[in-house]
Amino acid sequence: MAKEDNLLDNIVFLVISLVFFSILVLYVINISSGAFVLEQTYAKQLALFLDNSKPNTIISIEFTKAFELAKENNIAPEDIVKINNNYVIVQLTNSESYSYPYFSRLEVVNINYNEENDKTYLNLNIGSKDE
Amino acid sequence: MNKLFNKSGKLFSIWWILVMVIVTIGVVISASFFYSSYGDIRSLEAEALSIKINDCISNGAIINSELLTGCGIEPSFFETNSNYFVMVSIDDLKYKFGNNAFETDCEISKKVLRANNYPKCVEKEMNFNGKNIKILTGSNNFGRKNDLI
Repeated sequence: MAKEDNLLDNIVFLVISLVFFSILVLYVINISSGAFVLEQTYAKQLALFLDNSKPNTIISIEFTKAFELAKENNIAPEDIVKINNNYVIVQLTNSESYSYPYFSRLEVVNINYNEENDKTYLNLNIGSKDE
Repeated sequence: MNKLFNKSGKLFSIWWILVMVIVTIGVVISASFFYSSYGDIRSLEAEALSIKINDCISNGAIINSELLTGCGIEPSFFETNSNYFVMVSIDDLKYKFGNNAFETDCEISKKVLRANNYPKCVEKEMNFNGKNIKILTGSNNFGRKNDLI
């Protein structure tokens, strides 16, 4: 009886420990692929693209994960990525957005999305402020 | 099952629970800190700024106080307390744009191994029409989270 009790104790201990560490791993995975990280990633990526672009360029990037997340949170497509006074603003949730500036004298003429092979792409048409 | 929460602590001792609490706090704090300032692109911005000015001067832009506008750079981001800095030195003349304090900060950040809150800087030298031109650019821009509620 004592041996069986010991085994059961060890199994329960192992299961509880495993559950605990799995929750921690899930927490890290969740935070690393969450809205805030995606908002930062895309805002910074787009700001860098704009800093390095020339007028009359079209920037096209894969945007599937962010687009789906925004759709889940009922964010209208025209509100997901906005360019305002040289700031790229990305909003994927109803509670917050993330903005990052770009220093080029460029303006975004048009922002649109297109789907291709089950992937969503974000397209920015770039024009110059000086034209 | 009596050993599971035994006071003498073979399995779930107070120490094990303490370890779990410490590990949880450690993971939560470090993950939150790491992802709250995820992806530092300051050095890439400084590099982009440097390339833009370098190309612009190579294409014949006149080096004066209007250089930024002439190079397709938004001058409103280069005011005294901004997060950007550009300095173009030609002979004994220095043209500075943006946060002038970065000139010293860039020197400091070059000398120390880790200077997280100091700007990231790029220094380049070029030769144009027989003149030696030094370009120093810096960025200390972190972006901004906007609460909508």
